[in-house]
Parts: sequence; C-alpha cells; structure tokens
Amino acid sequence: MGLFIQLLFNTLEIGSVYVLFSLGLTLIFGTMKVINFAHGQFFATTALLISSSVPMLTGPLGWPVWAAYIASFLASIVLIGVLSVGLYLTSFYRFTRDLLGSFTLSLGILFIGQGILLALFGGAPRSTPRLVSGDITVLGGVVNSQRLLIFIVAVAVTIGLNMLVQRSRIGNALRAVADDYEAAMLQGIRYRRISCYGFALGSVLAAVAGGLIAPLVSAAPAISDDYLVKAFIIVIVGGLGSIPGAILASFLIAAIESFGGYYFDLTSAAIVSNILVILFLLVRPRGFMGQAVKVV
Amino acid sequence: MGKSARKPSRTGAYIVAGIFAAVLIYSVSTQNRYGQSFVMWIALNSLAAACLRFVLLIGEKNVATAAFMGISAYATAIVTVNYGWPFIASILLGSVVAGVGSYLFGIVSLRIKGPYFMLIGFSFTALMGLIYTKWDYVGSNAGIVGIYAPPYMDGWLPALVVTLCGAWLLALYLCERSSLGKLFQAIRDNDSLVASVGVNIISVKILCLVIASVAVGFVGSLTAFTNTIISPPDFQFSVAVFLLAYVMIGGQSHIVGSVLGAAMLTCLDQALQGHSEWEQIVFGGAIVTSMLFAPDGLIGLWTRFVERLATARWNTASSASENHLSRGTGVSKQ
Repeated sequence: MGLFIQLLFNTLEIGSVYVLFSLGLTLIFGTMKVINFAHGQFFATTALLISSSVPMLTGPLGWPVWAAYIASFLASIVLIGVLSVGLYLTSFYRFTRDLLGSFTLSLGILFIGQGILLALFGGAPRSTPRLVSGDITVLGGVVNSQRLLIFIVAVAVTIGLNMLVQRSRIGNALRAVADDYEAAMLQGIRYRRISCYGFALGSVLAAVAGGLIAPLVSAAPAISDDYLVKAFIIVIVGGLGSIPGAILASFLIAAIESFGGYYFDLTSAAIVSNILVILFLLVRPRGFMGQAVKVV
Repeated sequence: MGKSARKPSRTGAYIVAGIFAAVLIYSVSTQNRYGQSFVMWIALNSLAAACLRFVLLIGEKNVATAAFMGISAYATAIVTVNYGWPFIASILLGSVVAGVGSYLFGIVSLRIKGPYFMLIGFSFTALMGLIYTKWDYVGSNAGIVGIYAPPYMDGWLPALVVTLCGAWLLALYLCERSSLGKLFQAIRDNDSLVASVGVNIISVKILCLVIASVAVGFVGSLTAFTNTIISPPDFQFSVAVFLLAYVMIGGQSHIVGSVLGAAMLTCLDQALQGHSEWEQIVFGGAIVTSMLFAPDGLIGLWTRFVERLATARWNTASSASENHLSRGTGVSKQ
C-alpha cells in the first residue's frame, strides 16, 4: 500500500509538469490548428534562464533564494510572452490553419532556438537550488517538498487557466475560434488577434512549466525534446484542443511512466504509451475529450 | 488549371537528364571517399524526400516514411550480416519487407486522415525506435555494424546508388503523371467525390503508400550499405521531419523540388559541419527563410519567375498592338 501511494504521488508530481507543458500545445492547436514543433524551446529557455540567473542573484547580490527565483521566473515569463508574440507576428500568422507549413516553419525555429540556447548556455546541464528542501510523509508515502510545491503551483495555474477560458471574454473568444473560426469572425471576433493571444498564452504556459522544473532537473538545451515527444502523445490522447483532455491524459501518461517505470523500465513504459496513442488514433482520433474535429 | 495539367517541358527533361548524367559520371570517376559518400547521401535523401512527397499526393503527411526506411535497413542488415545473403537479394528483401509492413500499416491507419494520420506515423516511428533499442537481436542501442557491399561492388557502389535512385525517381514521376497519379490527387482534393464514382478509396490510398514504401525500402537498404552501420537514432521521426523540410523547401508541386531541397539542405548541412551552434542556427534560418519568402519552395520561385517573364512579354506585345489599332482605325477607346 505504501508503494502504491508512493507511485501515486510520483504520478501526480510528474503529471503536473506534463499538464502545463501540454496545455500550451493543445491550446495553440485548438485556436490556430497549428502544431508548434518548437514549443519545447520556450520550456527550455525559461529553465536555462532561471538556472543561470538565480546563482547570479543569490551569490554576488546576496538575494534570498526565493526572491531570486521569483524575480527570474517573472522576468522569464515576460520575456517569453514578448518573444512568442513577436514570433507570431513575424511568422506564424501566415501559417494559421496550414498544418504542413507551420510544422516545417516551427522545425526551422526549433533549430534556431536550439542553436541559440547552445551558444548562450552551452550543452552542459545546470541545476538551480531548491526553494524548499526536505521530505514530507503523507499517508505513508514520502513526498519531496519541492515537488509538492510544484504540484500545488501547477494545480493553481491550471485552475486559473480553466477559469480564464471558461469565464472571461478572451476565454470565450478562444473557445469560439477553436469551434468554428469563421462563425467567430462573423460575430466580430478578431481572429488574428485572438490567435496571437492563444499562441502567447500557450507559450507562456510552457515557460511556466520550464520555470517550475528548473529546481528539479538539470536544465540543458536538450530537455526540450524529451518533453516535446511526451507532450505530443498527451495531446493526442487527451484530444487536440481539449483542456480537460490534456489534464486527464497527462496524468494517465505520468501513471504509465511511474508504475511502468517501476515494475518494468522506462523504455517499456514509453512503448506502452506509444501503443496507447496509436490505438487511440485508430479507434477514437479525437482522444478522450477532443472535439470531433473535421479534418479540412 | 493545375500544374499537373501543364505539359512537361522538353527543355526541363533535357536539363534533368544532363544533370543526372553528370552526377553519374562523377560517381564513377571520383576517387575521393568523401565525394563518393556525398553523392550517395544526396541521392538517397532525394529519393526519400520524393517518397514522402509521393504520399502527399493523396494528401497525407507520412511521417512513418522514416519507420519503413528503418525496417528495410534492419532487414537488409540482418540478412547480410547474420545470414550472408547476396547483395542484390538483401536489397530486394529490404524493399519487400518495407512494402509488406506498409501494407499492414496502411490497412489499419489509412482510414484516418490529416493531422491524426501524421501523428500515427509519428508514434509508429517512435515505437519502432523503442523496439530496436530494447531488442538485443538487432543490437539494441548499438545497432548493427559491418554491413559491407561485396568486393565486386568496390568503387561501383556510388554509381549503383545514383542509378537506382534516379530510376526510382523517374518511376515515381511517371506514376504521378499517369492516370493513377491523377486518381491520387483526386482523392486528395475531394475523396467523397471519387468514392461516389465507385472507386475504393482505401485500396487506392494503400497502393500509394505501398509504392512509396517499396521505394523508400530501397533507400533504407542502400543506406545500410552506404553507412555500413545502422542504429536506432538513424531512423527516428526527426529523419522524416528533415525529409519534410526538403520537400517544402524544394517545392512540393514537382518531384524535382524534392531533389533540389534534398541537395540544397544536404550541402548546407555538410558545409556547416563542425560549427555546432552555428550549424543549427543557419540550418534553421534557411528553413524559416524559405517558408516565409518562398512558401512554394524553389520550384515555386522558378515558376513565378517564368510566369512573370511570360506576362511581361504578353504585356509588351499587347500594348504594341493596342497602339497600332487606335492609331490606325480611329476607333476611340472609351
């Protein structure tokens, strides 16, 4: 029982980061019908920025860890927001709804991003000091305090996002555009502007995920790839464009990794995830909760 | 009036034949090891990109191209290294295995369309890669080494590769221009309409996939002999993504686009070798620039250039005749 609880907690910890990462991807697909291959770059950039600036702020400037962390976190988020808007305005807006074109474009951006990150930060992994240390024992399972903090923040962000999408005007516009962009335009919703917001929001979510994971893993430019592949799997299984679906699927995939990784090994767990995706795509392409997307 | 309705230009055919002959002569005459490899890479990349593009004719983005390339390469490698099969037989086997594999894949997945089919291909490729890494018989992470062409092929391998790739490219081109090719494109444009005429859509789509996969099987087998070592990272989905980039940058409207894109990006990649970060930045920059300024690829640029020339000629011709008319007959232009 203790083992089960432990694995369950691992699932929740891993899953919460996946949720943030894949929410962004699914949001972007929902509004723009575009797959952004370079989504992981925002994730990696934030992680790397935080892992390089926190030591600088805490060391010579003597800031407390939490202040340094929050300051660099916020600064990175703003940077990523600006960057993604710039990216949208210069390139992506021409490829809205063009799957192949946007895919290729984002591939190019991926390379440029990787190259810049390598040039700026080097390939070696860096770590960030943890905000809180120690473990807590809950219900017989040991939970690392840092991971618990991440989980709480992730839940808060997800709830906030859900409220934004369900209650606010922008949220309504995003959902309208995801359902039927032409009808939305007829209602006076400015498609380009809303797509821009959607793109920025999705990218910022990836950045938040990257910021949260910085204290946990060694940040290196290569981390974007692992998460990206998993995010694709999650987004398909959950349903392209569906937020609740992405959340469910994130925890499902995290569970497969957590339990499968313990009883077998990570590669087998990955094999199972992939087979799951294929089955889903064959039997129920729209995933758990996706809209029955009419493929244009 | 689509591009496929235009008659193929005879000059174009001569230029292509000439370039092919030049490449073939180079591949036979050069002693430079690197030059030999380079020519083979370009040939193989071109054919692989063309195979990906072939499936685009039915409107599907076939990321699984990389998977079938891998299946064929591994099959060839196993029979050559473990069982000592003759050279030609092992290549043919590779293609047959890829074809059969694609047939099975197609039956199951070609009912699905668009981004979902693309993602199935993506997952299938990832799955095959994972299987290779776990399966000791195929060498798991280390792969298979020592895939050598027989001694009588010494020095002739590049020529063989170039010839086979050229032959397949020609075959794919002719297939595209045939009624079958038109059928594929009709399915891409409006499959309900084609179905209403009584065509079995799924069967035709599977046929398209199998043709492309048998061709890419050749690429896989030849890759095994060209590189003499194969391992799981050689056939990841990133390979398919590169092929996609070759097609998009060269221009997806014509098969020559795949060749151009492959040639250009392979050259660029080789030129940037060893500069690590810059390699990625410039490569990515090339892709982004192409997509932003030449979304129809190099072929698109060429076509627009030719059309602009033709329009310019038409304009000068017609304005000359207008002047002539209005002066001559006194008919006033309202």
